[in-house]
Amino acid sequence: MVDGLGAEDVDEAGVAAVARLPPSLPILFGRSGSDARSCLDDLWDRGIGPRSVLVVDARAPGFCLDEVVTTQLRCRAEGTLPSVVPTSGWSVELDSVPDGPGARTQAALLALSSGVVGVRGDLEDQLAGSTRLVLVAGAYGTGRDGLVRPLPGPVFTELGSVATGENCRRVLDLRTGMLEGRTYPEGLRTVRFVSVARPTVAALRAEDDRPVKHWSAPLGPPLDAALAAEHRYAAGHDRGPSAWAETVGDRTVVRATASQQTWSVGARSRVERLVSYQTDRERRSMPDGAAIEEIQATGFDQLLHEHRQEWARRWSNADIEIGGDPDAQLAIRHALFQLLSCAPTEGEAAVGARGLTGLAYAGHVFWDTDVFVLPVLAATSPDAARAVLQYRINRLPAARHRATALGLPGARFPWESADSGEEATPASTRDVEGRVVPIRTGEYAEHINADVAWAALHYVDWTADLEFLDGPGRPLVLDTACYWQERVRLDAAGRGHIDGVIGPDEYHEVVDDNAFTNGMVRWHLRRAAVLAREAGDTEQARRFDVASGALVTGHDPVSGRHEQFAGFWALDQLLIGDIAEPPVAADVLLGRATVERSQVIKQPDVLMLHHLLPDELPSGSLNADLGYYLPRTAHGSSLSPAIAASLLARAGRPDEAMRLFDMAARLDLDDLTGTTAAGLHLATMGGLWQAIVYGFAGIRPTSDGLRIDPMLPRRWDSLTVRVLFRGVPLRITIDHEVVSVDSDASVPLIIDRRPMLSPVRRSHPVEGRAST
Amino acid sequence: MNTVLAAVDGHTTARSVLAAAQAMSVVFDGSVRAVHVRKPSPDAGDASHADPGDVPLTVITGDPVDEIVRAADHTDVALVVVGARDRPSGSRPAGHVALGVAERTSKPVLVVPARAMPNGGSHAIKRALVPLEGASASADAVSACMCLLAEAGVELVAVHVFDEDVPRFWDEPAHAADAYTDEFSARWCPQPDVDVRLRRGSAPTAVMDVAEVENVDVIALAWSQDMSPGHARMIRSALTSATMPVLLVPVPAEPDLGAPPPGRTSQR
Repeated sequence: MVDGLGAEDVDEAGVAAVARLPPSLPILFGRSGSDARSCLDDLWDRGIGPRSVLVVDARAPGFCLDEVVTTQLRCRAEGTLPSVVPTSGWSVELDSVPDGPGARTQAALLALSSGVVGVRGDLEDQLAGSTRLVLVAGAYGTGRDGLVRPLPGPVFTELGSVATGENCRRVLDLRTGMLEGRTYPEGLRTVRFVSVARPTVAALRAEDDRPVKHWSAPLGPPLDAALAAEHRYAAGHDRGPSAWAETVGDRTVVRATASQQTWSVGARSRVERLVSYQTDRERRSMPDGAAIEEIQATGFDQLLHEHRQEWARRWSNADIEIGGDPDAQLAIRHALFQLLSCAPTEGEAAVGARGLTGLAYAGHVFWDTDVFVLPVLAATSPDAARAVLQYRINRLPAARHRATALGLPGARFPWESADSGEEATPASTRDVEGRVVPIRTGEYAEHINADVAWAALHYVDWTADLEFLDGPGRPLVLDTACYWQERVRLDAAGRGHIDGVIGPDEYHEVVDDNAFTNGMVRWHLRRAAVLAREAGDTEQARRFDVASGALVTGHDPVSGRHEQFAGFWALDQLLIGDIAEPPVAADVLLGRATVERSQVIKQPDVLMLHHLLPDELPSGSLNADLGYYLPRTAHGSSLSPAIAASLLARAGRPDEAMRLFDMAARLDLDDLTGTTAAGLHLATMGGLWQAIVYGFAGIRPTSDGLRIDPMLPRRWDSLTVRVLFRGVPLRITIDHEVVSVDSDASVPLIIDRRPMLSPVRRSHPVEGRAST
Repeated sequence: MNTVLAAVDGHTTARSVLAAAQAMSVVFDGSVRAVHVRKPSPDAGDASHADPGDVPLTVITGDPVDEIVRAADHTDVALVVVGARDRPSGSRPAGHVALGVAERTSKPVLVVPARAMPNGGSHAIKRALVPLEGASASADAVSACMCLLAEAGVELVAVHVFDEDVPRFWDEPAHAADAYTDEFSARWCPQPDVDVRLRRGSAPTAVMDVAEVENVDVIALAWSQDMSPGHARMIRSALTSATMPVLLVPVPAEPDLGAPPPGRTSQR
């Protein structure tokens, strides 16, 4: 494809040249406007469908369509690699030396995913120090340590070319989801993508300036280092040029089928690989030839075309533009790129804490997915959000079974979840003092139950997907609420308590009446009561309402603050600033026992409740809680900075929020955790989106409409956010004076607390309200 | 052929030095050569030396530090083994000669306390502890030694102590340590099968605790060959309290004293 050229007219020779093109090839068309119609019809008569035609409106002098078509024909006949042109704000460009410092971190930053298949961005010709890895969502095996871990699939990126030890520039094109690698001054050039249009398919094309006598086989085994699970690897050939390979674990099999073509153009050697991945938890022998034959028939160019189109569609509903802050611009686009490709748009999405970008956190699914990742998908890619929810729905039977085993009604989801839906949290770990310590989140971090319900209802808030709410969403909300109903203990005065939990602040374990947990449960029970009442079960609705109304909140009307848990006020009055500059892992610095005795907290807890349920808490309590808890927050969790930034913006302190926002924005790009190499922090990326959309833009879906209440930092000139609200694409542009909402259909909006309908352009005195 | 140069004197450490040198010659795939330096003054004493057995012995007259360093300069010398004095303490805990050699030679120096391998004889190095601070200069310095130890079948245990710098983020305790140690090992350990232990607190104390718990036969430390006040806290501690030989590997360039490595912050 040659983009950006055009013509005043199409001459006869051009039309004749077009007619020679095979119908499956996208071609240029040099006209636009009404005249183009007849020419398109002419092409259609020649068997060239409109899907294959790119209409351009350029005015390039001397343009000759025949020349362009001839060039295209030549490029396609020669299998030329597609161009990846770095674009400001849309490209992550990284220079690297193979096996040099940071190569592993780069491999994570440049990871590609379709939500089904993920491949790290290691250099194709790097062997020493490579972390090359292909993960297939939901594929797990039992590790040698007994922990359920990802089962890596066969790797398709190893080329075995002669290029070694050369400098390399890698460009990840966020707009189209293509990764280019180029060794220089000369050598190897590669382009690869994992198709978001066909999420089981990946493709790679490479070119070496020098003759390559032998390219590697298209599929190779995972690295030993990646195989923490027991497995068997096998490989072979099917009919024709296709090959297969599989990693067989005790819980599933990951199989890849691939075709490889090699050819030469002059002194240059080229190779093309098309790969299809499948997984089967029944570990049956899977059909292989058919899938790859269909992909081969489609061809690299058509696959790439579909992939680009799907990315264009996703960006049209999701892009964020930040005026005046190019660093933040690239950071949010990189985050959006990873988030928009972390889940498929159908089936179920097992989105682990690091997605498919690395092996850290054992590929387990935490509340990160429900609370941090789901909102961005609900607002920009509802089908993907629905797939995230389907993961929980499919594991509702396991959650019910667990609740029964605990002697409680309803369903109890695991804190860490893998394939089966059973609790996957490790029982113990070795701490930094060398002691074996129990891990208690699996047993006590029960807020996951309310988090799952929040995700389901938040999805409905964005999408108005009543089919979901009346269908599989209802038991998801109701069964998890039933669990709480019995979990709430009523005291002699009739007040409700939840004893013995771990809240988001994991520095303080097994506490009573955690404000976050109680607040989430109050809300959960109340929303469940509404659903139960709608379903005609008034008795159940009444029980939910009683339990909800009885639960204590920890709110102190005198100070206006919430006590994080019963007894928190009495802990040692330690501020994080007395110890270290946050963010800091205070538990590592001081030891868990010291931290547990103090008021230093890991991350927003009371404040997280403000973030998730801003309309549920007493007026004025946000400022009071911010004033109290932020100086005590170590931000020792990577989830913390973005949420705190969002809340500071909501509190009218957007400029103060920027330090924390930047921290979240740079967390992976600058490897602030020291562990980005083991996978990207998807929840931080989701938090970054929430800080922009929920925090600075003040956008929030409500039952009355989409609320927009911006609070821009002075560093930003403008902010444009694209979302889908109730199925209507909205483009919301905010600067320091005006809010504009563009849409093709009318949806209810609340701006300046006044209801109105989109589209709208309204003066809005944002600047006057900004904090100094 | 690699030569392990054993500097012997007439003290009780001589047999330990020879035993340690023999053990390390297996690691370095070389042979042991002994050197004894007599001071020129007749009243300086120490005219005798330990019986080196089958080990070739060269007796030199001169300043012990000067002569041992000169002997170590030979290109075939891969390692120098010297004895520490019996009662390590003060500013030069291993003694004047041992530290003098270690400060001046560009070769690795194994300092053997008298209480290590006290009976001489045959000893094998089976487990080695390598404290790593997470900086490229020191990691590079011990990298070659770690490879040699691993190739000789020695089990390697690395320890990293969160002393003044601690990670900024430590998400889920159930997984954070694994994620951190995996990446730490990939960055700083040349061998993939090194067991990395994390500790917090005072680095010298924590390292010696790990050495004790892990029952290691040798501690390998990178150092900048600077024992002036305020430097070499770890070295001083190891030479003072270690009951096993301490391998001092000089850092050839200026140590990396810049900002904390990625992912870490400094304590106030």
